[in-house]
Amino acid sequence: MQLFIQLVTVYLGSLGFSLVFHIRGKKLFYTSLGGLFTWIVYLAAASAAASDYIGALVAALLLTAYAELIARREKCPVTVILVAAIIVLLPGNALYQTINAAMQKDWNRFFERGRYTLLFAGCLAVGILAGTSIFYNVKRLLGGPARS
Amino acid sequence: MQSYEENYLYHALNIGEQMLMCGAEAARVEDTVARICRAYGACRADVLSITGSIVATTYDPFAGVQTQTRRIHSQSTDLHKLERLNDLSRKICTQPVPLAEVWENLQEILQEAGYPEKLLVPAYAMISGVFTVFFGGTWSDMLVSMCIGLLLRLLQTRGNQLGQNPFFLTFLYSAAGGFLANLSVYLGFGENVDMISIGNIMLFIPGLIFTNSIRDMFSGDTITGLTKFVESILLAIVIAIGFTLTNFINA
Repeated sequence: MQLFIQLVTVYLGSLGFSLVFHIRGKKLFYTSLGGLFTWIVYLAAASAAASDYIGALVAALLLTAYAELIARREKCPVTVILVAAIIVLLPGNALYQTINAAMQKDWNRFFERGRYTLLFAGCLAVGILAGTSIFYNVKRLLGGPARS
Repeated sequence: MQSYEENYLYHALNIGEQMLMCGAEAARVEDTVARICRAYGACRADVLSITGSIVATTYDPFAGVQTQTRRIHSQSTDLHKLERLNDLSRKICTQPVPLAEVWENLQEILQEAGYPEKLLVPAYAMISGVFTVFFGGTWSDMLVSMCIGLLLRLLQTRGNQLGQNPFFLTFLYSAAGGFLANLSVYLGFGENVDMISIGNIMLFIPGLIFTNSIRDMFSGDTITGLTKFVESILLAIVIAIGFTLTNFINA
């Protein structure tokens, strides 16, 4: 039940962000599906590797690949698909806890949560970078045009 | 009297400028402007875009060197517009159209309205409500969070017209969001301040800037990527401080 609620809320959340970013038509479906897909991958990878960081890395990597593929099919910029779907991975919760700990002068918790937030965001960045570069290299091997 | 070369560079920069304002990465803007210039006959086009500015120089064997600059001050994410602009640049690059037509197409894209406020306000409410539940809030937290999300959007549309510093404005919205979350729990409507706040934090989290900055670093625009990266981190900290500022109410 908990999982089901999470998946529904992730889907609706990504849909909401797609609306806020003025995405239209069929792509609304692709972006919200991307959000859902990202969270499923995150949960699976994080529990398989027993690490949230690996989960973030793998989820960001696969989402980027998904966005590159859809963008190519729909002939639209990758950003359009990527941005609304990746928001569920951004460590807003951990960031809030970090600053909240600082406000309460709980420095142990501040450092612990702060390190988690930074590492998590770093893994996201590496995931996006890896996804993009793998995709570019595959494309170069296949000899396609160097533009999305 | 403008020469042909001055004119196409001007139009190329118009498109680039609008793309940057809608939320494109610097690398995409550079690439697009250079491609359009080459489509209209420039031998080479060097374009540089660093955080809210574009500099483009074209070289043409007959007309010589042309340079134009743009400075962009405001940004509002509109990915549909970005897509339309991208389509326009694709069209130009496959078959250069007369410059007057480019101008008309651009005006058409700019005048097309995005989603109306009637739809965006409920979307904001939905996002904050949904993420409150996502992070483990209760149903009453969700209702409170939705009301706060709605209020924050109304505040945001008014606030953005003031033309203040974006960091300052974001701080104000976040502080308002944090205060409302604490007030609601204090009055007994909501149950968990942190869940309500986190739902609303998601409204402001600089996801587009973060994603674009990383993609820019990959494309070789390291300076733009780094400055945007720092900007997104600073914004995130400002937002979190705003939301936690009034947590002493329920401490």
